[in-house]
Amino acid sequence: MNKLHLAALPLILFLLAFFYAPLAVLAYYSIVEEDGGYGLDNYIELFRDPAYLKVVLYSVAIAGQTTLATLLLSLPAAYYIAIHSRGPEKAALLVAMVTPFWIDFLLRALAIKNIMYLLDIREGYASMMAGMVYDYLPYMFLPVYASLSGIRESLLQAARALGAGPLHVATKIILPLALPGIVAGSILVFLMSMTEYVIPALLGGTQGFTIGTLIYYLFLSGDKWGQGSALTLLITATLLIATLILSRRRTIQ
Amino acid sequence: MGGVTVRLEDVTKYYGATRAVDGITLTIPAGTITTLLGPSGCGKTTTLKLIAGLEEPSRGRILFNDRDVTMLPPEKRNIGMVFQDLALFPHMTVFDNIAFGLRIRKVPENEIRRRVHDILELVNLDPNLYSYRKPGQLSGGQQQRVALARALVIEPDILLLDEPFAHLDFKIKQRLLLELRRIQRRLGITTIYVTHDQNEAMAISDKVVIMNNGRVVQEGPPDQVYENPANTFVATFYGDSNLIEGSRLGVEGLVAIRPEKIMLNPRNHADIVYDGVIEDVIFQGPILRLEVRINGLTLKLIHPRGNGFTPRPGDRVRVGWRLSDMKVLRE
Repeated sequence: MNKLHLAALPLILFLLAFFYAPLAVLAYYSIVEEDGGYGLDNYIELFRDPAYLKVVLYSVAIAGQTTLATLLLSLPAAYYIAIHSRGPEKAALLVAMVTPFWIDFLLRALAIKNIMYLLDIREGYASMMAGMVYDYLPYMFLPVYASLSGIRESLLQAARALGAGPLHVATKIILPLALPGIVAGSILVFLMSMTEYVIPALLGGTQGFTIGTLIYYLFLSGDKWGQGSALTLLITATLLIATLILSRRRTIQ
Repeated sequence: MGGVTVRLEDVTKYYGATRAVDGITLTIPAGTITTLLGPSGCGKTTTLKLIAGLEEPSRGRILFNDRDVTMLPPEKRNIGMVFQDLALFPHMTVFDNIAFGLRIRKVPENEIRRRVHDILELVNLDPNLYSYRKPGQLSGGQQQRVALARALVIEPDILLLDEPFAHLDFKIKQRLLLELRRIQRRLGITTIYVTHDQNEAMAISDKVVIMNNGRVVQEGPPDQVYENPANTFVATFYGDSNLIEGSRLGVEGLVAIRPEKIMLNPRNHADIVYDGVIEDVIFQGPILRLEVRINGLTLKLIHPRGNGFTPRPGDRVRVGWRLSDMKVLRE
């Protein structure tokens, strides 16, 4: 080791102050019980009350649907831009794809709310899903696009010369080669959207009761800091372990 | 297999306003290797893609024997194609690459194993050693062989090759060219080979088609085209030539003489003789390339080494040639 490890110090201190220290505070609250003593009551309560499990499962479902929707929207567009468009058209389409994400995401969520109002759709499942998909689209589109743009046109031509029709080209050549991007995008979108707070809170209405809004409720409305802390830590730990397993498997491949 | 004649009738291809291929009419005889030869941008690769069905002509017809295939997609033409970048599927093993076309054709799996094995032996790759490697684990020459095997295993009517050896070392290229010709002779498959390299074209072809600016400039057996270049372009692109104003020699137009036809200090074989001075001598193994100045004109000529006389720059020499070696060019 040389003295360059000091270069990482500012960031480590920053994270310590704003992430790890608060996390430690959460850990502390999570083991403070209602009577003031220490114990695992808060964690046990999470598993005993089926309402918590329901919210977690609902969040998983929303995250799964968000992942699927962003994938279905991204694949054909990324395929067209990466393989079939060229020159100025390609540049214009790529810019058009990323421009919305230069605007702050809170503003975009509010814009969706207003557009939905214009369409006479109030807060609820439809508005929330529109917001989720809009928000997480680039995290799916960019990795999928990156893996597709590595496919040379000659590979597709070679497959066709060998007798493959469009369906075979799509399933035997394009999909397998795009798979790393699809997997990366799906992991990213799923893990991030599972703990989303702002979109369900702003656009979800009565359907917006996800892990994110539940934690908010426990802290600020329900006055249940202990269970809020326990839930936060449990979810964080679960996502951390999932990320480790997934990234480990991908480096082995 | 074999036996398929390819005919192009007034085939034209526009990309926007540019005419990449400009009214080509051409017959590629069954069972031969025909080379499309020309500089980059001459339309040779586009012509190949039109034959493959990877591009659609703006005008004209393409026929395989008497069957009009102009509007047929590539997957229905039963062609084998080797691409310039080889286009091996990176996510598949050598075996799966070669089996791809057979699986599409729903050939039974045990027959696929036999045919992949046989074709690997035909292209001189040990099936036991290479079947389960990925393309990325092979050398350039080995990848080349896999690409050829993949194109041939489906027993195509026509084999199309787009500068397949462009990125290989000279020695490997020479060997693969000879092997390709051996395999082609053995299978008798109609083969169209695109290249910008005149030496490859001469070495491999039964017929060369010389292209420039989207048109066919001249076609014929490689030696005949070499002996009788039709115009300045062929005379200088396909082999080398000295171009001389005809008025100097008492003929109309431009005259081309191949460097090897000009004799140094000729005895009595030459019809025309000039006095000159050697300007430059380039050593090239068995031969020397000379530049000789004769009144106001520099001639390139080739002189075999090791027959007593060693020319040096500044030497006064006589050069001469036969009238029959002068080719009057049309343009």
